Amino acid sequence: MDYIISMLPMLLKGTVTSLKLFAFALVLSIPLGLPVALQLRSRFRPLRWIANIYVYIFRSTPLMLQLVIIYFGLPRIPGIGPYLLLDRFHAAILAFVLNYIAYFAEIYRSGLLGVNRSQFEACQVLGLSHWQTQTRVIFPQMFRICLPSVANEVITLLKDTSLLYAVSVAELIHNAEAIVNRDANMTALMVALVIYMILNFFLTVILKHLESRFSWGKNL
Amino acid sequence: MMIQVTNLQKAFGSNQVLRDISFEVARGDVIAILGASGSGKSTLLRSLIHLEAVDGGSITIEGQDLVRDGIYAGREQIRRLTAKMGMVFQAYNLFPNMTVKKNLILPFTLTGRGSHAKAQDRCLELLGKVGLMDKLNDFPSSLSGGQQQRVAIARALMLNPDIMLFDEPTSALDPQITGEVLSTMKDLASDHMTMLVVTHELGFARNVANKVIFMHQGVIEEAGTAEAVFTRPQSPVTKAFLRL
Repeated sequence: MDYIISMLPMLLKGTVTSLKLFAFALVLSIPLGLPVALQLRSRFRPLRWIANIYVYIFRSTPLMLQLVIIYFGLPRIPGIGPYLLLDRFHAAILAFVLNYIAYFAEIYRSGLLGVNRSQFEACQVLGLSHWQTQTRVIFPQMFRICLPSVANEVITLLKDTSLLYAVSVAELIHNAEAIVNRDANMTALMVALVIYMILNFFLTVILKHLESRFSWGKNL
Repeated sequence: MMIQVTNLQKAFGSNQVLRDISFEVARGDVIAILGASGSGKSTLLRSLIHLEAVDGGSITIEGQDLVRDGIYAGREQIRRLTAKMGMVFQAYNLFPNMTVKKNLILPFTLTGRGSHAKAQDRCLELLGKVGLMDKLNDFPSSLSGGQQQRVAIARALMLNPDIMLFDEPTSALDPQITGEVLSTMKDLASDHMTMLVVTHELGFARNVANKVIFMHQGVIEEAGTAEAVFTRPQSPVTKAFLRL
């Protein structure tokens, strides 16, 4: 027990770094997924193509590779490369945000498909503008439809922060590994596992609460 | 005249849904639009409030053109004319993410009809009228179909329309609860609201409507007072339909 307590400061420090990445990635990618989702459904073809290509690239390649390319690869582009040199943590935020925007955009797109078309007609006959229709009626319903899928991604995102390991940022797994190597003892990784479980327990509770908060009278 | 429709035409692809439809609606008219499925009656109603764009013909609302000879008025005029009408759908189309109260108040305030306080007063008045005062803070999903449809009627009335359009308002309801919606509509008719009602409820058409339009394959097969159409139908198609 004393051994576990002795490693906690280092592990918790790693946890804070993981949570920081998690928070930045979440706060940026959740709203930014929406304009991309709208682009995926745009009537203007080139916009649709760009959005589709973007989503295709970021969904079909491993996040770890994207992270490595953004950190190590971008600065090697001739000419503009030197301006693209980011520190490890910012490179990670960029990779995570770009990657998760692609996933959230697809989730939102499916949510928009799930909103009944007749809602648009109701808005039209009530004289609501396009903007009012979208923001007051369509998006809230889309958001509700998407919530379980978004929750799924949020939990995955927390675990994906361990990919920071690939660019040697001192997050939770990185620090746990350091302790394992130092002491030739696996306990630190077990403790890290428990920390992930505890964090995701709280996340799950919050997300479930959100779901029932937006149940609109339906028993789910 | 509240509404004048002349030579209206509309096709979906090669399917000619409306062929040369003409009729007039006077203030206070309650017109039942009858006909078999696919006869074009819903499309006709939806054209009046610009949910469908017609291919030819004219629609004039209170003397102003919505569309003249197939050419639509400007955006602002369309908005102004369609705002004179309220519409009730078969599937209610309430906003599931809002309480009954919010369903009524939001369109009122968003379209600049008045203050929130004014909206609230009107909301309570209309919910009282349709007998749903106690459902103020409920979400639509917790109401029965009949209650939802009455909320939808109240929501349309919030905007103080001159004309109410009903597109098969009771077709999605159990026969036992169509009565509550029909009686709300009947109250509206006795308040002299101008109403166009696409319906399969022959009883309502006969007892509440003053005029009946019977449609068949995109044309008005027969039209006249409810009394005349029900007791002395001229066309064999109308006769056959009314016998059902």
